[in-house]
Amino acid sequence: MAADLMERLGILTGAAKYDVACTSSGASRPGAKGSIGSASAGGICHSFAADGRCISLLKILMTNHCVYDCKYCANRRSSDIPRASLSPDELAELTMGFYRRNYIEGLFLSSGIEKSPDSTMERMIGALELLRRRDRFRGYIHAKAIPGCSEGLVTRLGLLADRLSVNIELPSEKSLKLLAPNKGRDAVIRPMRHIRERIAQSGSELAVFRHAPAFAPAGQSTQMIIGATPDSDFQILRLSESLYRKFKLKRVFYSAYIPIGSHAMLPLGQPPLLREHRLYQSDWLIRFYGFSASELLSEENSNLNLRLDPKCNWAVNNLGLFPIEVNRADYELLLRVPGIGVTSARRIVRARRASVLGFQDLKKMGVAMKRAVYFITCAGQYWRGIRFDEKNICSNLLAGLPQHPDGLPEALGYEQLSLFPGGPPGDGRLDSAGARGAFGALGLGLPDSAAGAQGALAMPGAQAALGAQTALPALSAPGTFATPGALPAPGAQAALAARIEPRASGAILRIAATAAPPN
Amino acid sequence: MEIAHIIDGSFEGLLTSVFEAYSSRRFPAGICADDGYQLDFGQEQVHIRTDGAKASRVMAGILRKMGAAVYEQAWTAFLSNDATRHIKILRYLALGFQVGRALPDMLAEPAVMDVLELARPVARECNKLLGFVRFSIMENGAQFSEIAPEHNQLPLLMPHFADRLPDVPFVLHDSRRKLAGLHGAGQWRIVVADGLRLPGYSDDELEWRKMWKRYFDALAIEERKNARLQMSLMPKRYWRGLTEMQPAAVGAGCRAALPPESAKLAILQDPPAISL
Repeated sequence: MAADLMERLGILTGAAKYDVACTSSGASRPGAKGSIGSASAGGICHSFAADGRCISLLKILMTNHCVYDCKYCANRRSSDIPRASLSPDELAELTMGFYRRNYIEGLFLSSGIEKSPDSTMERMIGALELLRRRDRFRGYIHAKAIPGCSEGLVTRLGLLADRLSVNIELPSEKSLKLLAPNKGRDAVIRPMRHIRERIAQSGSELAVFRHAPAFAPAGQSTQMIIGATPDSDFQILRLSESLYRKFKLKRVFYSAYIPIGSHAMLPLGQPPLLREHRLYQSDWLIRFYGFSASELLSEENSNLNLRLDPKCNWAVNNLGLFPIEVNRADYELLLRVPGIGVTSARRIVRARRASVLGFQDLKKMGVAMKRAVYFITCAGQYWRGIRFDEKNICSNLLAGLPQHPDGLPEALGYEQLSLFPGGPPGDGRLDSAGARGAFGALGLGLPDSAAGAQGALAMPGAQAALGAQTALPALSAPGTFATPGALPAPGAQAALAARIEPRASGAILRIAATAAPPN
Repeated sequence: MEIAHIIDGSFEGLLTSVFEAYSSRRFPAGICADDGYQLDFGQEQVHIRTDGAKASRVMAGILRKMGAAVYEQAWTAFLSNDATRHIKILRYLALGFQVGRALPDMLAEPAVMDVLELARPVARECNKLLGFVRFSIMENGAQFSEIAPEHNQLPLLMPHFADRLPDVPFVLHDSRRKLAGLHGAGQWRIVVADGLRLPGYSDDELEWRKMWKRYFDALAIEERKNARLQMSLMPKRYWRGLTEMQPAAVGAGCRAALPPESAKLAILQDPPAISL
């Protein structure tokens, strides 16, 4: 090992640390005789840094020399920092040394742009070829495609790596122009599109020839910086939604902006960590829970509530749909209940085939009761002592919520980065969203749903108590129920008409913000 | 009079106990292994002699009637350190012989939930350890790591690392249970290891630990420091084996880092040639 390798490792890690992605998931590959390494579909976290972020990969730059001058970036040309580089050989040695000791799951390679995007990519490909061919490394590799490089190089990179990513960095074109003058929209979008096409092509080749080389089998991801520009959460989530739907991205990462490049155009102060957390929660709702961005936010109400998680916030704004009966509600509807996640919803659906479920059963299945109890009934019963009075919830939640608690300037009307010529992106729901069955027909998720939600809050209590099914028509929906099971049996309806008492004020406000790592 | 089975603590022993319960038509109220379950007074003790043929019949029955997922669930629950695991698994399987493939869905049944709750922490700890195991490379080229898990994890960890490092001889030592998983020549096995005498570290082993620690420290973002989050995701009980969590004098204080002075059993002098 070279004497100054430790020093350079420190510099190039420090330079890479603002890239948040460190997941090793998405690829599944067993080990093989004569090789070293395997990939596990769920990913494996090997350590957790002092900031609580998972360390799964050796996340490092080949060099932090850069000819670009992006204002938000620590490695920009005009920044006065120590510079260093690693040779492809050194990089391979580090990766193998760490991997054998089970320090890491693989490599996440990125780079500053020393001369040109193409020459940078050539060096990265050189390093990955050493790893894959000389060292027979079968572990996980995530590589960054350098914006503006030629397509042939992206293709070569994708055949060596499990995941590729191109960072979109800022959610609107105006922001991008302002802060990253060397990276045009095209420089970002073109490689993303190329990667999407290659992944699709590789998929169809693999369907025919089992041993066709896989192109980026763990898919493509990207990252956006949050809070460096006045873009709203609604713009960000709509962009993410279109990236998931149209570019088939596996992940969009959000990175709370940390003032590393002091510049007149950039905000100072603490990174908006809670906002970042809320965006991740919303991102999960969009990917796994059948929500669309326009159900969570709207043009008028364009930033996430920092005091309530987005699912609770949505539920409280749509109280008319609740409570739902866990022994009968569709899976898609269960997923919409705060406190019920994908795992517990699946367990409920399985378990209720065998017996009628009570609150104790739900608790054992992993339902977060402190949130769920406000929104469900078990066999027609409320949780003892629960009072269902939307007026209190409503007034408590809507009273004087600060619009921009991060101290961000008001939105300046930035246009969303247009990825898709011809029609605004993210104008509707994710097509695959299973929730359409139950919710699509009710007009939720359309731009005017905010009005509908307001109406629901003012509904007489008795109607709400009848449960989602009977309360729904009050939202002036067409009255068609997508699923036959949605209408309660006459007997059950009576059972659902439990007595409503005024709820203790503010009870729902105690729902605590939970801190979770970004990935 | 209630009876209690006494088994040898192996999974085959437990399956034999299931077999005997059915063939004698007497279900035990408790099952006692050699690791601590206390018998109630007034229980008649029935010693179960582990029988591979009977165990295989029970296993085949589970696979046929309840499916592989149930077998795996019972096996994972068996690795728990909970002293009541044997009787809970027996009740689980007994219900399974009645209801068949519906068993894993019956989450409202205590017998099913009990086993789920046994298996869950085992799987969770295994998931953590897949990442938290730290190997040292020894002067003879073999790799060594010491763990002290809550539950018996070697049967879950060995196949993972044997697959990942197919050509590397390694030893995974569970110092809590005094067991060692040995891998070499494409095979692995678990043996009783009361003490270990290790060869010295390879020349640059400590250098690699320093590199890793440097990487680990450089990756944290000062402005996002969150010790509580770090601790909840990487609880302190694992720190002993994590070289990056040791103070700057790398490896000092890390037991896994130091060759034990009082070693009794010598293994790993040569890459183990193992036959199964």
